[in-house]
Amino acid sequence: MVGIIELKDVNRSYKMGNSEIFALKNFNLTLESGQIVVVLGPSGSGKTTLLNVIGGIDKCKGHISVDGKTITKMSKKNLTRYRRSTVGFIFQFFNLIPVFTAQENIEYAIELSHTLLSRKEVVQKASKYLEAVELEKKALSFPSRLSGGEQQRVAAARAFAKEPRLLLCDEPTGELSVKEGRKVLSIIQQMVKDRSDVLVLLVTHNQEISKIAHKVIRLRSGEIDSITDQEPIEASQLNW
Amino acid sequence: MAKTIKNIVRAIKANKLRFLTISLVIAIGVSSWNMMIMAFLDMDFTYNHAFQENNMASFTIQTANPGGSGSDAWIDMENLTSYLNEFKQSVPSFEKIELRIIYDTKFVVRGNSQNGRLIAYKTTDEEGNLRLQPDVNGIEILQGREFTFASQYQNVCYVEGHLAEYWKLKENDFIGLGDQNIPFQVLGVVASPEYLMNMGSYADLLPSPRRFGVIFLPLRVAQNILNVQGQVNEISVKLDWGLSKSERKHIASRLKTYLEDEKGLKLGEPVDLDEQIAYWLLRMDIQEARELGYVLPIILLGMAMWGLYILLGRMVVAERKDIGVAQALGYSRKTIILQYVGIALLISIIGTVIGTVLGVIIASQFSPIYAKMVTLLFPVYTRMDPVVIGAGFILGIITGLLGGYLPVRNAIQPLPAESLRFDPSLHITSGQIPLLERMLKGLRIKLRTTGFKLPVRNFFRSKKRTFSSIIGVVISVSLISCMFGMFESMDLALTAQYQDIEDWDLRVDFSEVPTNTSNIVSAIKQIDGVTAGTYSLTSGATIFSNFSSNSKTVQLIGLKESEGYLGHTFEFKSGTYDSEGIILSVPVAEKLKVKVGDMVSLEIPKLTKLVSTAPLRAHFKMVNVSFKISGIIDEFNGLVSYLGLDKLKSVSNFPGDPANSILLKVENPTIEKLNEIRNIIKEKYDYNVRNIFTKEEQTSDLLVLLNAIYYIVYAIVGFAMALAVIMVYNTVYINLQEQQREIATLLTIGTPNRRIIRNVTIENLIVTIIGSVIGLIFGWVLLWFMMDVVLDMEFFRIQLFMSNSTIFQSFFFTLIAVLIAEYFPLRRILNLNLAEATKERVV
Repeated sequence: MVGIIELKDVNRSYKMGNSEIFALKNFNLTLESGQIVVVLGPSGSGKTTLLNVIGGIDKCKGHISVDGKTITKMSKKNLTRYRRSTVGFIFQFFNLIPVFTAQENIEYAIELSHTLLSRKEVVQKASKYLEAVELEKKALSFPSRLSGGEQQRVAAARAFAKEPRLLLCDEPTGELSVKEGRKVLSIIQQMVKDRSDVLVLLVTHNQEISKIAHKVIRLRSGEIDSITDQEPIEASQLNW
Repeated sequence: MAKTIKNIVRAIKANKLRFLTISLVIAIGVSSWNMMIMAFLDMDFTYNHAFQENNMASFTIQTANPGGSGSDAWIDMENLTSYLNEFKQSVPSFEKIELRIIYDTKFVVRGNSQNGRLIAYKTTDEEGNLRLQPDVNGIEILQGREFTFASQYQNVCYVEGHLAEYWKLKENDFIGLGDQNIPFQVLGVVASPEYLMNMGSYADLLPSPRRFGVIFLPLRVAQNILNVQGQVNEISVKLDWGLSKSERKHIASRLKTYLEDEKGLKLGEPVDLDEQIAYWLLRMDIQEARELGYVLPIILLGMAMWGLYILLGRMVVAERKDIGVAQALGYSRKTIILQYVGIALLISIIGTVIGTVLGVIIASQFSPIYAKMVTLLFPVYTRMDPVVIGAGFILGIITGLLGGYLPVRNAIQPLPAESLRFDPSLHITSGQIPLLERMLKGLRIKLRTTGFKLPVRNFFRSKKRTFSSIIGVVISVSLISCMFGMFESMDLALTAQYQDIEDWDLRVDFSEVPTNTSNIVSAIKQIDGVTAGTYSLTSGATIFSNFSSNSKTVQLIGLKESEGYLGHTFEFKSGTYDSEGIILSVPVAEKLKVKVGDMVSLEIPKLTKLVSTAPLRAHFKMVNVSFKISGIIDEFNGLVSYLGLDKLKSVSNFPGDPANSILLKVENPTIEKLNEIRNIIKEKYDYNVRNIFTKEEQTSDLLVLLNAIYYIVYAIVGFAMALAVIMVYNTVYINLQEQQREIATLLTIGTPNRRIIRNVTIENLIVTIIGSVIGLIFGWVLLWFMMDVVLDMEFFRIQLFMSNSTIFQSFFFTLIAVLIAEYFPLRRILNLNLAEATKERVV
């Protein structure tokens, strides 16, 4: 396994009136690819902030490097390029583009990150990923016609289709039923099995979900409380 | 209530820029209301004040032959005074009488000869004491000194303001009077209510001090130089100001009958106050200003109401979940509606207050500027009218209330659960592939998702959004195209008239009508460079329809066809030129409800007794003569009709070849050549030439007026662009706000900023293109409404025209406004904190 993420003395704080609240405090962490890492913690522990600073959508002090590139020193333009080529996001609220069909949402991500592909290749690739999430029959459906679970699977397919090195998932099952949540987590697990160069960072408050992880990081008040390595179980066996 | 007010203030603070823009539109609407209505009222008051303060005559009666000699031209003053005093006993509303001399003659001013009118009034009263003002048709001394007792024995005069301004005449300058060029010293410059507009007759469509000027003399002096001692040729009567036109006309008619039948005088037709040319023109001017004064602010406030409607409607939709939470917590629907209406009310109060203050300030400046534009020499009165201000205030508030209440009332659902379930981003999506895209697909044009697909889909994502996006553009394009179209229509009408229709290079106007005009023309044609010449006789006439009870007073022009040259190239709507028939203009034909082939009756003067031929002096009586309409023309001059001169001559019993104008064509009509010919004609015929001018000189005054309108047009264009920026800014802002999470997602997954900017710009370009097409259609409708309904000028017939350049400029200026408008919300969106923006809602 090759090291991919390195955080050194990372601090992120917010001003609330006269006080300064630390979402991340003197944070240090190194993670390697080819695994699922679950970040657990209560509300306000800094888990989403951790995801955001690694994803380059929030600023912080300190040093973060991903795949050898220091993202904390990057310009806005380079950060955009970084997110386009290196990072995939799965949001809690799906965040599909409502005017695109399921197929088109995936095509967009592919066209963005694989500019040399022809139109035909883009469509084929998108169909392949849609098939992987078992939604090939819903290719022409708009998000308003999809259930929450279906939307999240399309969002997952969109994230995978970019073939990112880093997949960031922020409460991906937060809006889903148990059955739908298991499906999405299974898809994520399969992706890591298929590609050893990807690191999945999954944020959740749900202890049960952490069982699919190779590593569990517990946060408290912006600091690491514990890091546990474990043997992951199949998502289909989860029950919450 | 306190909580509601707090929420209102908070909501306004959070959206202050957008609400400020709506306030601005309301402010513009209210200020335009105040400005235009008060300006109209100021001008109305100013005119009335000038007329009343200076005792404008209720009617005037001249002798039958005011420029001639003999008993039909002059009346003994003493006798006339006693007749009038006798008549006065039976008419209680008779206030004042003034006996004057009105005489058209030549002036020589700074070596230049021009036509003019001398008006002479008595400078002493019945007891022989000096009086500074005539009792009727008074004057105001703008500069200089008053007549003294000695003035009645001296060659002194006042010069009317327009003439003085043109020639830069002032106290102690000299002008020459009449054929003998008698020198008169200018004692002062005056303003006269009779000549608020410097026009000598209805025939003079383009008044200019170069062609007509007025001077005032002491009566005795005029009598001496005209050799009519103790005589006058005009009676001016002032009746009670409150009498109606019919009452005035009745008294005037009685007086004429009394003086003619019982005292044997020979008089012309009385001219009522309403028919006095300056009075008539200024009333028409006020009428048009009043119409525009009501129409334009209503349009502007309507736009403000619409903008508020869109803004608040979409704001409520975007905040539906918050509203659901508030309802779930126990706030009633009424309270929530009140909050939003409170927002609208506060915005409109702010806008109304700003608009009221602005409007009052601008009105006080506008009236003097307008007065200067129309060269009004009397003092301009500016007043604050509380009724107008109050009405403007109410209109502004109503704009806010209606614009706020209507969208909010329907948007707030009765059940909180409905609101809580609501997802704005899904709601605004129509959930289908737009027709345009399907059509393109049919043409095998497939749009890429990272290409044009997203902006096209965004444009069509919801009907309400599409509509509100387009409306700002529609309003801007329609306003700009209408304004430019108005200017172009006027410009084209003038160009067509004076380049194509008026087929002459030099025009000679006579002071007196010669009866040997054909000989004069033949002689002038011998001048080197003159290639063709003809002549025409212009007079007034009333046309009666055989098909309705309508009649119309027109300028009747008898044209002589001389070796195939008419001096006029007709622009026929129907029919053709027939020297035996009559040609009417479109407005006249419409008023009379007649067409080609119909018969009409003309009331024209017929010569009953010839007194002299050089100059032409005669007795006339009014007769009705029938003519067949041979053609209907669509030209710039709206109140004009044409006959063959020979036909006019025969029915009027004129001797010889009468004319009051000669038209000449010149080969290679450079300024030098035209001046050369002009000088030759002047030298030979100066005794009777009132004016010689080129076509350019005739149009130059109108073009100056057109230039003033040009500035107004550009001001309105600037305003239309500002309005477009405001409305498009608001709709783009709301559109982007609704898409905030989407755009944040696109940025998060790696879409570059420039692509977001491109997509938004393409979407706005589509909005602009579609809105422009609709806006141009509305622009045409607005142009028709403004020109044909609001302005409705009888005098000038202007065909509606909008050039390709206008169409392009309307689109282009609006596009600029749209691009400016998108800049600010786009900049905000691109600098969002993506971490927060990708959540469900940004607080």
